[in-house]
Amino acid sequence: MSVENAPVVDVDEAAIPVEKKMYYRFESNDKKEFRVSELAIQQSETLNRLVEAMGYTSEDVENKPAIAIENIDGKTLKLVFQWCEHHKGEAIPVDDGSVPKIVEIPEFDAKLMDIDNGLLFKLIWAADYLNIVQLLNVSCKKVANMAQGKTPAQLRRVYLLPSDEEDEAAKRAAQEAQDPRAREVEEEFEERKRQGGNSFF
Amino acid sequence: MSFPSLRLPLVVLSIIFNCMRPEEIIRFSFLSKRCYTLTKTLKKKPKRGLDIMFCSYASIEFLDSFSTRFEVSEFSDIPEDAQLEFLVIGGTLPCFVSMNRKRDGMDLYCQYDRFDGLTALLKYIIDFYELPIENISIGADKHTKDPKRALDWVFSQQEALNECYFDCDRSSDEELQYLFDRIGNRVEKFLGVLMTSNVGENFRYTFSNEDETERRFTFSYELTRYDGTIASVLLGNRSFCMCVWPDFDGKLYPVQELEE
Repeated sequence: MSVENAPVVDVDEAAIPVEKKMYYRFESNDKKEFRVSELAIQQSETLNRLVEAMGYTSEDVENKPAIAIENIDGKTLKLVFQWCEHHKGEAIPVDDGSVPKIVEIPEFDAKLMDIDNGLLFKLIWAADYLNIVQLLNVSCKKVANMAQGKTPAQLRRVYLLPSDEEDEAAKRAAQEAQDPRAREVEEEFEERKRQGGNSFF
Repeated sequence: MSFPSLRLPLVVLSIIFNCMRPEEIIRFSFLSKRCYTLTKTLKKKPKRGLDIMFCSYASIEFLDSFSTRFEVSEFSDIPEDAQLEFLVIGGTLPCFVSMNRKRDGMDLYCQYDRFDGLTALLKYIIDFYELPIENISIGADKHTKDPKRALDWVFSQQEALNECYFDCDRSSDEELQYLFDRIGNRVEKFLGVLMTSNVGENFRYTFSNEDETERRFTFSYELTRYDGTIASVLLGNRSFCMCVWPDFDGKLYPVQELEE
């Protein structure tokens, strides 16, 4: 059949179902709200399972309160969702067992993580909590890169690592801060052990 | 600004350590007992072992990351402009350390013999990673007894080596004889010897194949000379070896075996 002879059908364009992008609303612990696409959320195993379990429709998203993420602040959550939106649709990486772990930091991620170490710490913590594998990998790689070419003293400063003496002092201070009654019991227990007693009671 | 690494969950710390190169993790482990325990528990084992050099310099490299190494020297070798830090490694090896920017590695300076420093550091790394020494390069550049000491020490720790390179520039026939006797069949893949005029022209050594096992290699390049003679070229880390067919047992190049 030629094109000219084909039957003409009037199409009501409004009736064609247009695939609408599904968004979810999240709220940080300092009450900042974010709209995040369904595809971006798939980067986070925790959030993906959460929204699946909630079974929200588009109307629910608009009518119900935003999903609260209570232990992440707005500044950190903004970075997390920016990362998820940029990497939406990408496959979740699987550990190939390589030593050292092979992780490339793309330009976008490098710019996103051009932040102070306090915020980087929060970002890593959030990536771990929300189970965003690749964000955790790149942020950990950034922290690992800080060790390159550093002397022991520099490593101590960069990673805030106490010496043995400082660890001992902190342990003693923690013991001293203990409940005095608990400390008495502990001391008595140690005393009885020294005297060769098998049982405390 | 500092990064509060020890406040991170252990799973996250484990990812950070596993993004580091083996020698960076070792450097981290030097810092305190807590760092040692954390890194030793959370690190993954590299796939390949260690490469030791004991010749004009003494060094340890991880075969997984060739570009960096620990180099052990004595106090007398400390450069004038070195920025040093004092460290006691594993509670047994007091030394001064500095970073070597050119080689992206760490230089350690020990008070006494560099051999004692090297073996103390080796024991520490071997215990930390449970890795074998795979390759060793030895030479008598600093002392004629150095190759013997190194080889004796390695074979007191483990049965065999993959590769052994020996620069006998300053070794006598007797020393060479001792080393070959010591090596016997304990070098499994490659034995490279740099012969020089110091070794007598008539020096000969025949390696016995006591267990008569066949030596096999899985990858080689083949060359054919104009007269049809075939040679297999096997690549080592820094050198190659060429086997010309037929071999010492008269076996021809195994064409059929390869075609199967």
